[in-house]
Amino acid sequence: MKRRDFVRTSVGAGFVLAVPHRDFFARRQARASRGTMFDKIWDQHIIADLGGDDYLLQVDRCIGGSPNQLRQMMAQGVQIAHPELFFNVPDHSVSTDPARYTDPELRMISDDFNEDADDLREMGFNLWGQFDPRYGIQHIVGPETGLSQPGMLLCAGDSHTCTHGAMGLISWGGEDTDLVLRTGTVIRHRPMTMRVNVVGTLGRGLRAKDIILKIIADLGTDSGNGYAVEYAGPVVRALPQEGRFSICNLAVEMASLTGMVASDDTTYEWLRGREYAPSEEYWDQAVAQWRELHSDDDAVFDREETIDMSGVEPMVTWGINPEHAIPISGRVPNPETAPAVKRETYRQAIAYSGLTPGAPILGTPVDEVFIGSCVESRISDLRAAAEIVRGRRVASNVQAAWVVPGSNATKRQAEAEGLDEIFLAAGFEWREAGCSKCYGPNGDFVAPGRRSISNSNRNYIGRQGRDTKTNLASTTTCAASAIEGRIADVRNYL
Amino acid sequence: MQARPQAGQFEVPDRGGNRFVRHTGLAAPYMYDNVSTDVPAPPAEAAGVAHLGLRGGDLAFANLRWNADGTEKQDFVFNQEPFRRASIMIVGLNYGTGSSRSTAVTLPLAAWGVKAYIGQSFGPIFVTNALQYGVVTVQLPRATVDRIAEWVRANPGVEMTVDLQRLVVEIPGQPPIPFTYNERFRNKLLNGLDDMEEMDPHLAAAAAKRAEDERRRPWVYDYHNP
Repeated sequence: MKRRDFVRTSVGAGFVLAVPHRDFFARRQARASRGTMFDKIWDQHIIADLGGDDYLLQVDRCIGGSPNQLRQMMAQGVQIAHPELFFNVPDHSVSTDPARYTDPELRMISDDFNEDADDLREMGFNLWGQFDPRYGIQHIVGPETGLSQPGMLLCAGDSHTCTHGAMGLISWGGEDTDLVLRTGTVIRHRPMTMRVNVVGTLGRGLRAKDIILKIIADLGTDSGNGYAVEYAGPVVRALPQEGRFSICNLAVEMASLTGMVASDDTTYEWLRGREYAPSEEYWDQAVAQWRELHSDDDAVFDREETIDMSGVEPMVTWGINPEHAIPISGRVPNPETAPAVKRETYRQAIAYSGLTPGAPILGTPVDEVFIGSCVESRISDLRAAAEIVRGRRVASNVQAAWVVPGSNATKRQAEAEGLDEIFLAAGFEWREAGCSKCYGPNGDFVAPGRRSISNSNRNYIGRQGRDTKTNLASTTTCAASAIEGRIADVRNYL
Repeated sequence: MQARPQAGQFEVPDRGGNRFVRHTGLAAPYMYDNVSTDVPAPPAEAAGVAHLGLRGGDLAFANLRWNADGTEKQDFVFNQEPFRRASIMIVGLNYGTGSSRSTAVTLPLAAWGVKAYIGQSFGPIFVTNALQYGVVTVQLPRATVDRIAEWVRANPGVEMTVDLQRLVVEIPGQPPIPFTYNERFRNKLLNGLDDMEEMDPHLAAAAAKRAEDERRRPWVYDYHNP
């Protein structure tokens, strides 16, 4: 809802009330397909219109974390209608310590699979534990195994399920997967649509992560609230498939229901031949359908934004939510001169981050470096990081520098290419796959009070540990910062 | 000084089918923007309070609420009188953004019985989680929310009412403040309806759609390919 949708009314005593303008309701009633990719896929999944823009929708896949919900449902005798939709990869609560397969204590934290795992598998559930070659972070392995395909509607528990939208599908996270398992359906309010057109020339050393941080910095952490967001424009189109995942991963960090990129040849080539991709028998038919699933030339979005990447520097956050991103040569803002609406949160951010208003962010010492998470822990990310650190050493003031591959398959591939040797020689720890320090109910977190430069997606208060300060940046900016022991400009390493 | 409510003092219901009609209580202002679920619902180990053995509601806002030695941080609003008895939170923009953790709703519910939030806007997943636990998220323009927060600070210990039946916030000595609410959500909250009750009548249609769709997109149903 935009400002012009409101009529402001005084209700006395200084209270101002803004009620939606009647045109807003008229438009709401007409919220229907207007030719966007989102509309087309949404409409194909409608089972029932529940009124008021709420719909019952068919779910094609549910790629989730812990199987504990399944256990609970079965203990309660709840009938599960669609076990085949559910792919279970316990990632959040698994230690990424290389000793996790042998150390009994770590096995306990790690092993989300109890004695009943085989029973669950026999019942038709797909459970991939840490010993499974397909195991990894759910949002990495869903696409990596070919489970996430264009045109699908995919929902799961974890909020970063929006990552899969980069395949040209609708996906979101929310904690109502029990109902998906019971019915194969989900109820959702039809969101408005927004298109973010990314134009211009991407500067040297910039990655997809820098693009999405720039988008959130410009539009705001709340900007997608109420919207499904399509990322488009020549810069997005030119990105490899893996970069598109990084962009959609942070769609939820602008509070949108989902983020999407239209599928194209880049997508199809990336998907073809993967384990769960459509078989050759159906491939041409599938691709022919997928090619229709893009926004029409005359598609109408509720909101359109353009982000020009020309001249944009590598981005890094200074504060406590993702919109607190500034160019690497930028300075920490001063709350007292910030726009009035931002002031209170900026003050909290300055107090928490311990940074000085007006100080350059470049050169800020870091205690830890984290490379991993569902944002950028795919093979292309690890290759790029390895290029930066090859033949160099992690600075002595860095207490912990970790590389955590996104999946067992990624780890195997990286080791086959010798990337692990490069990281280890530089003084990084080379970990097992999992969510790790991005969110730590798994024993991995940043030590109390420390500053970590992280390629993950959240820098909120306490996100990575007690009183820990997170600076979000791209994988390569993190790698360069590990070498310098302070927030570094990756462009000096290219 | 009022004693701190003990953990487990407020009951957290099972998810789904919970009612909310009206609630009267003290309000606490927490007027920051883009507060993610990480803040009200941190994991104990990451919050550095695992050694304190805190459970349930005592984990709510653990980073901001407890010093590492288990004493209270004085600058956190729920550690101050009279806010430590507040059951309505006044919040800023995009409150509860971020993860899908329903503990962002249930921990403050267990700790202080927080049944209602009044804010400029809320994270979309937070709203649906709140609905499941019979908790309301009242959305009002920022100017109105700011005035309510100001009023709360100026009138400590005076209760207000959030009435979903009549769609008003009632503050003593002030004209009622009307708000709008998603009609389906409101109906569910007023009547304590479970999602299954809404889905049930359509499950035959869902099966029919799946069968038809299988002809159109056979590869989607090829679950165990290879």
